[in-house]
Amino acid sequence: MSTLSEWLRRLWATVFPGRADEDLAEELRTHMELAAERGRGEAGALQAMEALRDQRGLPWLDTLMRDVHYGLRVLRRSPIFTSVAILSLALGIGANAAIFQLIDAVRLRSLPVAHPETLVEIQPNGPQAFGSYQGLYVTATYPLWEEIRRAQHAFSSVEAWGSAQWFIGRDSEVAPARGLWVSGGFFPLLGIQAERGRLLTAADDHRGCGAGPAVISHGFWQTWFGGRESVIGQTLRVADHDFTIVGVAPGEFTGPVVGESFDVALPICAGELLGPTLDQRDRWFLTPLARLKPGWTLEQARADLQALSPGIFAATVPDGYSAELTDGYRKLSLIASTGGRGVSYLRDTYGTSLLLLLGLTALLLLITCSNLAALLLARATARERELAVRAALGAGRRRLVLQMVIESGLLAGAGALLAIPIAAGSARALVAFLDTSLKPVTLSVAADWRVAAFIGVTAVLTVLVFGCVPAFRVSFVDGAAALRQTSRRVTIDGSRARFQRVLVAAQMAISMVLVVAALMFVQTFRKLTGVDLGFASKDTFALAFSDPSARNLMPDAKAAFQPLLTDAIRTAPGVVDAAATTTVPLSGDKWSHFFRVQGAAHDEQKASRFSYVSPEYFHTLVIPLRAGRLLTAADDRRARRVVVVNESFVRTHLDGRNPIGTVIRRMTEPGYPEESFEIVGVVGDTKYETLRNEDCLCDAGVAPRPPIVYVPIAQMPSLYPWPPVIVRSDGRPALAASIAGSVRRLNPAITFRLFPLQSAVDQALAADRMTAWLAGGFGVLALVLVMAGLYGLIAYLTAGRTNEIGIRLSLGSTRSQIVGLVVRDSVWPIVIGVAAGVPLALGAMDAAKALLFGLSPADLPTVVAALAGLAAAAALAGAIPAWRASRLDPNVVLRAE
Amino acid sequence: MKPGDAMGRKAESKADVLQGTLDLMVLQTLESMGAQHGYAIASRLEQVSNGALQLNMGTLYPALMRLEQRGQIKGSWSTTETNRRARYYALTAAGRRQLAKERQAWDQMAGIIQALLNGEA
Repeated sequence: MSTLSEWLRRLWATVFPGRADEDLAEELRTHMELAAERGRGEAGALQAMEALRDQRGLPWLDTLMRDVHYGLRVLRRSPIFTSVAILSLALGIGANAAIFQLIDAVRLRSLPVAHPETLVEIQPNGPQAFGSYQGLYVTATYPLWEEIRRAQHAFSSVEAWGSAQWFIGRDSEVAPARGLWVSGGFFPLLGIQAERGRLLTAADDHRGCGAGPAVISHGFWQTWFGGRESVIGQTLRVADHDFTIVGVAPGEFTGPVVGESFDVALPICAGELLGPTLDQRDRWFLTPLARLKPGWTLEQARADLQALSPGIFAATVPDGYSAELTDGYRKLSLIASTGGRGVSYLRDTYGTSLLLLLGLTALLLLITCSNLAALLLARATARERELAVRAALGAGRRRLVLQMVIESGLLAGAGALLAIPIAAGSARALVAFLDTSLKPVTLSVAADWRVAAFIGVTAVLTVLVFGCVPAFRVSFVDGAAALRQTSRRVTIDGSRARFQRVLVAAQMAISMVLVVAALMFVQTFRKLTGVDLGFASKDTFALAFSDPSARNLMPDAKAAFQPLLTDAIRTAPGVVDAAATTTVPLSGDKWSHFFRVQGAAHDEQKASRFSYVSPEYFHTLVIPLRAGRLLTAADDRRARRVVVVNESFVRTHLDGRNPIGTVIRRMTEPGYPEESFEIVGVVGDTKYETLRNEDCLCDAGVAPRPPIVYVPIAQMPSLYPWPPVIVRSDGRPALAASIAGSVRRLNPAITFRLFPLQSAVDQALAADRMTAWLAGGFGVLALVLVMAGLYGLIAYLTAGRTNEIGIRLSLGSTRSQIVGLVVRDSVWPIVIGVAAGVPLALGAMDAAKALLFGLSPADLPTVVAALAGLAAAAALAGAIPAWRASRLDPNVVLRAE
Repeated sequence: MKPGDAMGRKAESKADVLQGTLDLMVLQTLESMGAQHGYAIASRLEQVSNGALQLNMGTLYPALMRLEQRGQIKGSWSTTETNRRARYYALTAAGRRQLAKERQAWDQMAGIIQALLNGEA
């Protein structure tokens, strides 16, 4: 290994020369003196010295370092240029990296579990079966999951999880917690090890397990128990049952939902205690997750599941399904997809917005690069003499090109380094954008090797884009010619500026895309915030209750207690009105039934949104009555079945007939026997699920406001423990405390959570707000950058023509003629660039049209506004150098040499 | 080995071809003479080769530096008997091992060449 040690020493010596030149010279001197004493001349000391120096270090590395040193010196000499270049690169690269980090976290990264690549999600191929759904990602009932487990061949194990909301703690210290149902084999399936204690195992999950072990998340351990070691073995009261904490999950595992976290995990068998009951075949609350057996592929597993599906579904048909529903259910088939990345509300909701933003930041970086290319090019021209001198002194063309690339590389490298903290900060800010009170986001955006690699690759790409141009130009430097040339040039040669003109045109085109995108998304956001919800969201709150003891009440007692509770809340100080409802608008809750319109020409089965509401609902949310009457307290369990529908329902389902008196029949499903309802009133339309056009369950597919049927909550067949209550307040603070007082007087066991309806609106707008802010910001940045680029070009062209302008002025040109002369140079690139930008922008908007709201992707006023904005920016950027050129004093100019 | 004129000229004109051989010669010289300065090494090689091998400084000193970088010899400043400062080079343990190895390789190669030449004759 002698050569390796030699290399290491030489590498070391390149940085820290061990033996100084003086030392080497002395050795050679001794040699020559000794030779002279013997009467012999020794020549070649210079060559020997050179050979020694080459042997001492690594000559090419030494050269490179000298070039780097030289590059650093050059950059230090123009601090303004250098800092502007580094800062703009850092911002450009940092913004890209920040958005990449988010995309990486929600779209690309696998769950922090063992062998995520062999995890498989199993779900029915939809359309979803009827029943009660708990959570966003549920795909199975307990019986269905059991049946899959029993029948399948492709997986070494099939586990399941589900999310839940639990109230934990005792009496006055009750707080809502994010619950996670896990089957006994869930943690072993994922290969997760406990941080403290142990995780749940198959032994913990058996029917009739009662209140046994519980596992808490790392975050919950820290916030709730202060990270104390003594937590293992402690009792945790969940929904009025005492569980024992047996372990803490590791910090990196925040649950199977990317972007969300859990607090407490319980074995599914405890569902018998807290609900949902396991054997109920219409309670969809689980998501199966399986691991492929070694040797099985996803395709083979799919085929196996497909073959088994008829048997599995036939064995699990929910009770109480109508013949039609049963038929639909039996026709379902199981599909398998890769499960290693987990499920994610963030991914589904914001994935597209994030990709769009990444595209926009990439364009921004491109403008930055082209600006830098123009700047470097201008500098290369200004440095022509310096480069010519170096060429004349023997620097090869390669060396000069290398020098240019090194300088660009230094800028990009410094920019990339600075981009790291910028990216980290911006990524956190982006997460804050998405983190709403209703849907807290837990997302690890810590910089990892992927982000580092992204920044590195981006930096190299930027060097390729902006560094090659000046390097290319330098390779054509004709040393002799450049030296002969005096600085007294009459005019700049046209070819030199040609490239800058191309750059300006490209910048204009890209800016057009960014400015149009900015205008479009800001308008989208404004239109979304301006959407008429159809109900009052200001000072309106929703209350979610927990009272486990209520499970044991008889249906009649529930029906009797519910108005008492609503009345108690209504009489609390500060409350204007209160109403119970099964579905809080825009909260993510959805409720629908099949129905038939009696006496309709086609007796077809239709579907509609249903809400079971107490009579005060319309007054509480300020929903206007359009015809007939509202629901009243007299519409109770024993009274005639009546409903109120909204105008959208009348338009969509009643074919123009008089709604009042029309009878609709709700079709059978578990817990809901077939019943006929007479329409007694029509109310105004409201938003139901989202602010954008939403699923109307009708032929049109989507509608701004879907058809809704309002049924008296007293006439609901299976009244579940306290449905949410909606409250409108008079705006005074401490509403929660006031309501708590009233509720506790009625029943101290009841606990509740209160959130403003506006927070549901904010939640629905989170992605659009982020897109609007960022796209808007990028648009402004694009304008600034393009102005800087244009200013640079015109100033450069003007500076090159100072002499010409001086001569023209002294020959009698007017100031305005000079302005025209200067401006003419930059008009064409602007016009061509903008013209090319319009189709680009329209194409980009068409691709992103799913994110737009309330305006077409080819909205003409927006394009015109963008054109006007760019034109104004261009005019502003060109005006200053043009004006300065026209103010030149010919005497001063011509005497300057 | 019998260094001839041809080889001496070659040493001056194409040092890199000689490199391996030169290393062996330097190591062997230090082995037999003990620590020496550069000029003494060059004189010794010249003497042994009857003047055929004249190393110039540009060949000798980079070779010494290379051997030192490889850790086979170690240089340190000292004074000659005529009270002149000179850099003396001494074999290191690694140098001795290297010398033994190269010597064996050389012997083997020389044997092969010898056998080949004899066979041809």
